[in-house]
Amino acid sequence: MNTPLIAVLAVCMLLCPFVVADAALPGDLDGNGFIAKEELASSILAILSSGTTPPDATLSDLRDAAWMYVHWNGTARTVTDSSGKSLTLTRPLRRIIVMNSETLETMRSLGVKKERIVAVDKFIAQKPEFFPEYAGYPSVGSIWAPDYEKMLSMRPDALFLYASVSRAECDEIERRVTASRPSLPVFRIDCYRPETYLEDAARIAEIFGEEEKGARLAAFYTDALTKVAAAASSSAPPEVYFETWNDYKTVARGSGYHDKVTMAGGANIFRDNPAEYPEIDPESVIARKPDVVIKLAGSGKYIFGGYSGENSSRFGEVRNTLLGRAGWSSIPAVRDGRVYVIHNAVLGGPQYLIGVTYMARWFHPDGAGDLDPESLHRMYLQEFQGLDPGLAHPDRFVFPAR
Amino acid sequence: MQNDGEQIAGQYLRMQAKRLLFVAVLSVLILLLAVGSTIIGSAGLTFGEVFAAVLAGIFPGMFSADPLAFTIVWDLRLHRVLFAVVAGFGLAVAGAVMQGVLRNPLASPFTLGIASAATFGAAIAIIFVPTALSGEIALVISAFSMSALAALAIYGLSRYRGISAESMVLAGIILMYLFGAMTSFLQYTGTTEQLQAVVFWMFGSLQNTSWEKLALVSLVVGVATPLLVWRAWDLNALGMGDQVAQSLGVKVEQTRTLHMMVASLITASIICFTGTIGFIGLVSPHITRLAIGGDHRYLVVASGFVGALILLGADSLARTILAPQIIPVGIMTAFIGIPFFLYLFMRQKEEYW
Repeated sequence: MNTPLIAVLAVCMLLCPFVVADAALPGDLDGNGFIAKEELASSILAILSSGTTPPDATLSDLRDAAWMYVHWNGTARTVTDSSGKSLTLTRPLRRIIVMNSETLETMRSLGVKKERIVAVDKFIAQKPEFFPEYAGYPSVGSIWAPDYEKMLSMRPDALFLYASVSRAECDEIERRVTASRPSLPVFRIDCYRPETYLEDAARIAEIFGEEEKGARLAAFYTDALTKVAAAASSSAPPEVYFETWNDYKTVARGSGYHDKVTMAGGANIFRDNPAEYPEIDPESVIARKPDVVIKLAGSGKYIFGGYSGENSSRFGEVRNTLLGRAGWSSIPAVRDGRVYVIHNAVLGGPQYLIGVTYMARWFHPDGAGDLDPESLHRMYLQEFQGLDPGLAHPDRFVFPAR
Repeated sequence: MQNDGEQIAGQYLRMQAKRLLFVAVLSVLILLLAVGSTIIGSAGLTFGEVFAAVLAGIFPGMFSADPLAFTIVWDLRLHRVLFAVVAGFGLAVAGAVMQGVLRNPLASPFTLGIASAATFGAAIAIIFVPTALSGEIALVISAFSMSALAALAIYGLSRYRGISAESMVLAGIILMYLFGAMTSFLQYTGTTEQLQAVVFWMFGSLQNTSWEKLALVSLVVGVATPLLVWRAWDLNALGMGDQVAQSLGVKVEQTRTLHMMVASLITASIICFTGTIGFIGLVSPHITRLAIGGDHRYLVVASGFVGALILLGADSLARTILAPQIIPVGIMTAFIGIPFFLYLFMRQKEEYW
């Protein structure tokens, strides 16, 4: 056999996915931008009647054409991402790279299977408790240290990055990747901001033709948040001091945590600070006499609990340290025992509705009859994430639960 | 001849008076600022409340104060104010000694890689020992031992080639790059949160002071400063050049090593608690030299007073300018120190170094 010829052929076949992905719609025989029933039927019949096994490329074209016929009404699909950029897909996505764990979690809620994902970022690959199916999965580094070679060698057909967090890093990744692969769609989707979460989820549902599951997820969120809103308006908002995992670093208007405290019916005592994440003078907490204190755990010096469940006893220790802070015995929150520690897993990302439900119950104990954060959590894990609902045990995420 | 002698004696006395006046003015300023910054704070206590609380703490039983005011003054404000004074003093003393030992106006406690080593130590602790309760102790120990290691390495390196001032500076700069690279490498592997914590540490902050830390740092500064002042003549001799110093009977290498080690120890024991507070060690000796001249017997201690004033001023501003928000003090020190330096620099008629 002619070895050089085989080598050339092999290279061509390797390059094939790039070429095909950039071409017109698969199975659109007349090239009018629409896969008609007749076109699909004639393609299928042609293969059936040929009697031989068709090449893989033809089969996968046909598969894609059929999928688009069912999910996208036989046309290309244009989706606007969170950054407002419009991207047109001429094929279903089968080899995506996701560098945003919130987006991956949302994809799982929407039933996007692991088979469509070729690589993830290194933090996703390091969360075996929450992402068991991606443990040890091919990783393309992190947003701060991306592995471009690996990224391109995975031959992705789309890349998913954050839109508004770590913007400079994500812009750089998008710039560099599209410099070598101009046709690669780069979706900038957040999936962590409460005010846009359902829109982001709807975008993903559109991309993967999972609109039905998208509607179910939206209903789940809307229902839970309606209950929170009812509890939140049941009594006057308590004054709340919210502390991140950095001691005395709080949040103000403009930050996601501030919005969540407000959503749960609390009045953030540092809401008017000009910086979104200010480090504040310890004595100013004492002076502002908060009714409730919320301490965030899950990162920095406060790594415990969460889905891994390790060292969950630290919740109590941390709470005791807070109670013993100089001058805090005079704070109403400490006097009334309303100091709570919450894990970021149920507050930072798509699961914020669980954290917000816990907070609403703490802020408005008398109007919280309808709120059951634990079963909400169990339901989310079981129905949307396909995980063991037992993981939702409150001991791993909040202290004290009530 | 006699006239000349009298003239020189007169000059010396005038200089002496100037030095005393300089230190006296600084002491008064530090005292006023310390009082002011104990009174001002986001809790909005009145002067009377603070005064009563201070008295109640010093003379327990004789005075009574509002318990909340007492807690705020004694548990939150006073040790922070005093820590700023002691830390500023220590960093400036270390800077004055380093500049003298190395005969280099650009030297500071950070020139010899001490600070980058401490940062590397802190980064190790931040990234590998993330637990809250043991975390802080681990960070302090790690930062301190890395700076000590850097000091020893410089000593070893320059010992190998004979300890000239130049080789010491060179060794220091090499170490600075080495530790800087290792810190960047660690940051590269860490998460955003850890990265942020390391960057924050590099700004320096007096947010985590306590009476225990104050006691420790005061002990180190209190023991080291008299030792340095006692050997200050040797520094003056070193300033004339190694050979002159040697002919005056100064054990050059021994002196240089001793001063370098003591200054490093002071620096390390301060910045392991606060993070890298730069600039004070560099600029305080220059300000002092412009004001009272370069005699190390006075320069070392007077620099300390300047350093104390700058750090206390910077921290007071850092606490109040955007209250209740706190700005890392390392950012404020330059804002405070540079106008002060520029004023003296512009007034100076001749070359002062």
